[in-house]
Amino acid sequence: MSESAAPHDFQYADTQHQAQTAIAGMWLFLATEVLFFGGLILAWIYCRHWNQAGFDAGARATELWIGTLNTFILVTSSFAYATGLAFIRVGSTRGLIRCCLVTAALGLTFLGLKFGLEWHDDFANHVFPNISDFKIKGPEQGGARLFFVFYFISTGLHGLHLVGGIGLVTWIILRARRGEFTPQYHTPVHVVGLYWSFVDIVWLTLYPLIYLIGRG
Amino acid sequence: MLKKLLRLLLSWTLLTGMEGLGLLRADRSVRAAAGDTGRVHGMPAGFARLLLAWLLLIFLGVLQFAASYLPMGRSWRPLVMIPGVLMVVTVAIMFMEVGKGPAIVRGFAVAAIFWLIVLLGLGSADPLTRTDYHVPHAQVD
Repeated sequence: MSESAAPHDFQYADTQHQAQTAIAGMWLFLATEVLFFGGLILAWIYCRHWNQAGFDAGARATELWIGTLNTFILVTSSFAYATGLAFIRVGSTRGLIRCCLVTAALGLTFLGLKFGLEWHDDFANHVFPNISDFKIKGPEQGGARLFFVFYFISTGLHGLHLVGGIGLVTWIILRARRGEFTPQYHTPVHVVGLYWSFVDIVWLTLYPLIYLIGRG
Repeated sequence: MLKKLLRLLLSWTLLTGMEGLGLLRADRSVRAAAGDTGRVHGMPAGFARLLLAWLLLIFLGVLQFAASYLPMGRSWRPLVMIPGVLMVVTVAIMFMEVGKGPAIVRGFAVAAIFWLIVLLGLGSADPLTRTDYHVPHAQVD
């Protein structure tokens, strides 16, 4: 089946036109997401500028090894998904499914480490910003509380995006098992890959803001 | 040390820049060998390029982690993010294939970066340029 003869919705000239519209639509959505997280980063810049010592004290109270391990996990998950896309481009549905399973497993590992272990430790270490026995005392306390407001909101929002991403990857696996993707038609695989890599990019931005800049 | 870092930075710029412009096929020989099936040794054509990108990301991640331990003043510490920014660009070019999509995709990507710069630039203009005049406590009272 040639690409131009593949089925497409009535409003598109051909399959390629439909695929390019879907991909452009996802990029437009990601552009709005950039501005969504941009507001969060602006809040970090503003608050850190006036509370540098407090922010540094907060950063030193985070679990560096979990954040670092999660960075490598997410980068690897993007690599796994991109490999899955390369597999379906040469017609290997099995390769796509395997890569998607690895991607979803790495995403779940990230969530387990972040919310099952790191947030659990954070609560146990009394760094939730709105508690009376906050871990960090003295003049740095106010800034450190602000830091952990940023920490919990940003990692929580990123986690929600990742949950959505795992759901989308699972959807791709289910459709691939039904044999819906071919080298000629695999637009949803490409579009979900864009979203997954974007969630990776958000973490690559948050990681130094949360864990690295305040250390040293 | 600085020379090594500059050399690494130059290599990264050349690699991702050429990839983004479609001038480089890191796995050209693999593609040629792939033939009609598009696969070599069970892996799809293009895998070598993806593997290279992943190794680059791991390297930049380690570099960023190590850079965070360099002695720097508080105001300069955001420079630790430079390898992170390179990682973001690498993911966008190698995994998201921003250079290969239709022109409108690059338009959306450039617009997103432009408005992000406007947002962060205007938003941080006040705190980064304001001069604090410390008033002695006696005058405050």
